[in-house]
Amino acid sequence: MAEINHGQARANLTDEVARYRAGDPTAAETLARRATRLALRTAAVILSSREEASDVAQDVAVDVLRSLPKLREPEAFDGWVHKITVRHAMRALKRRQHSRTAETPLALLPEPDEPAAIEGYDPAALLSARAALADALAELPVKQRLAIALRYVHDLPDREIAAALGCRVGTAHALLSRGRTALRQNPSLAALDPTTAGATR
Amino acid sequence: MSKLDDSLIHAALAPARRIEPTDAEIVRVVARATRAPRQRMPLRRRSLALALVGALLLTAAAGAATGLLPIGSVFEGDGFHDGARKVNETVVANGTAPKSGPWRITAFETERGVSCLKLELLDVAAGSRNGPRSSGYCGHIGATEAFGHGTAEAGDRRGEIILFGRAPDGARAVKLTGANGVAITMPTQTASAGMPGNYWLIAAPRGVEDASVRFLGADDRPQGAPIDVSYRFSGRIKPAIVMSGTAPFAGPWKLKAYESERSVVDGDLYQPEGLPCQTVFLGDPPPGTSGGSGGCGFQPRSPGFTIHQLRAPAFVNTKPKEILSFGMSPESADAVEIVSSDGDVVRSVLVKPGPQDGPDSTYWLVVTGPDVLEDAKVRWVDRDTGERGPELSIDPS
Repeated sequence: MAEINHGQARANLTDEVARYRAGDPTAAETLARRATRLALRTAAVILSSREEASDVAQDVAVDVLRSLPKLREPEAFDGWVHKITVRHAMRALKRRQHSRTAETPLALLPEPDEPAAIEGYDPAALLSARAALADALAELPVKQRLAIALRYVHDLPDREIAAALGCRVGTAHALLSRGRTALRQNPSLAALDPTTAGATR
Repeated sequence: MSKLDDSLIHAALAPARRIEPTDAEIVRVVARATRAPRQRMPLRRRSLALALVGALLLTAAAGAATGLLPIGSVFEGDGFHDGARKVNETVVANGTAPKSGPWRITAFETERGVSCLKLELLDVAAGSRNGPRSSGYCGHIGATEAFGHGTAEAGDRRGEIILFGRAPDGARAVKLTGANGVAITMPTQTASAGMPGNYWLIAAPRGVEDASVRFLGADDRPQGAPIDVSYRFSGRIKPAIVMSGTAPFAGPWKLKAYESERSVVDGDLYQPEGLPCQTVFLGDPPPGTSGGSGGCGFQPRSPGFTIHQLRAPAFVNTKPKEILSFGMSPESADAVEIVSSDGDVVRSVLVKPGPQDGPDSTYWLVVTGPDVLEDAKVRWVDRDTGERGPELSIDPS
């Protein structure tokens, strides 16, 4: 069943890209939304700021739409978005080094539609984990941070993370591994045990 | 064995997995992506051009329509449920304001069949920092042709005053004028056949004095009387007791001026925020008399003037012994008069100025028996200039 859905999704995407190339404004909006959403989610983790993530996501989506004629395989649309997101997010981080802003990390902000509790976790403990993780992520090298975001926000396999980061699969695997190790060794996260932190499973 | 497992990272990053782009963000992306690439001009020319664009934006106050959904589009929106339920909203107007960004006005009916008009500022990111992003009104929109000065607190917090509403039939434009030479004219927008009417929005800079709105018909001829919107430019109304006294039967009273807060019941926004309100409170209400009575809003027929009443006692099918009639009056008013059907002034009371940090208004209260109000009218008067407000009916029962 999942394969059928994926197949259908790919067919829809191919169709949207074809309609966009033919000048259909509805397709432009659909693809703009898809690209902005993907980029926004990654950028939010990397930048910890909805405002900055919005700027990055919009730049990414504009680049994606403008470069769409160059995309030979429409089903590679999402990968294309991730690749451009990586470039823009790294640029945004560089810009930020020159002008640091203070903002509540996005991971800490309550979401209006957030369920009362994510299955298996005590909300208070989860909030602490988010706070600690946001701090710990900010200390990781950029590429490790991106790899973590692509894996845990978009559920991408190593192969697609590698494509987005422009590296070999082994390198992506290593980045993820090193990133996770660094998080585990981070003092604020080292003591965080799901069982003692409130997880019930 | 690691204490930080994958599922915890997953759970901790859950907010990022749910973020959705806003409509305004998508509008900007599509507009930028489909715009023809331009050559960058030299820095000095660019600065000048930017300054010119800024000035034009400020003067024009509201830009061209850029909403994603064209007029007549029907979509499943929140209505005034704040996400709790969905209603079918129809877009009746849209555009972009200089500071508040993209906006749209929608019309819809609540579950109880009440017509509503809703202004929504689509730039959610800005809204989250600067206050609420929607405003509106539920009531007889169709019958209230001049329902006018919207109450978008959202706009206020972004540094501009937003006025909006439905225009009378035949109104092709709406013009805001002020004593300090401000004049902003915006065309009305005609809704689709399924949702008839003309709708308008003006986003004006702060600080316009003596602001009033007037509709313009064919050949830019003014239609109807100007609507006083000055209170929208005078900042928030801080609650204050503006008058007090003692009535022979109702006893001690206080007249309080304040600003309405948004009230929504079952998705029916029966009171928008930001309207001027006046309420009389009785210190020692006699039996059968309410301890307070008042209201919020404006009189479209008499700009800056309102009439509310408190009956003492308020038994059903019984004539009250006393009626306290009261309200707000324009700053230029000296007195409020009750005029009989013969045109005689049967009662006159001096108005009192409001608090300094409130709107440029005066307040009035007159205590009468019900017979005095039989077939009577009420109006404000400026004794220095002889100017009088329109005579309005007053309830004698």
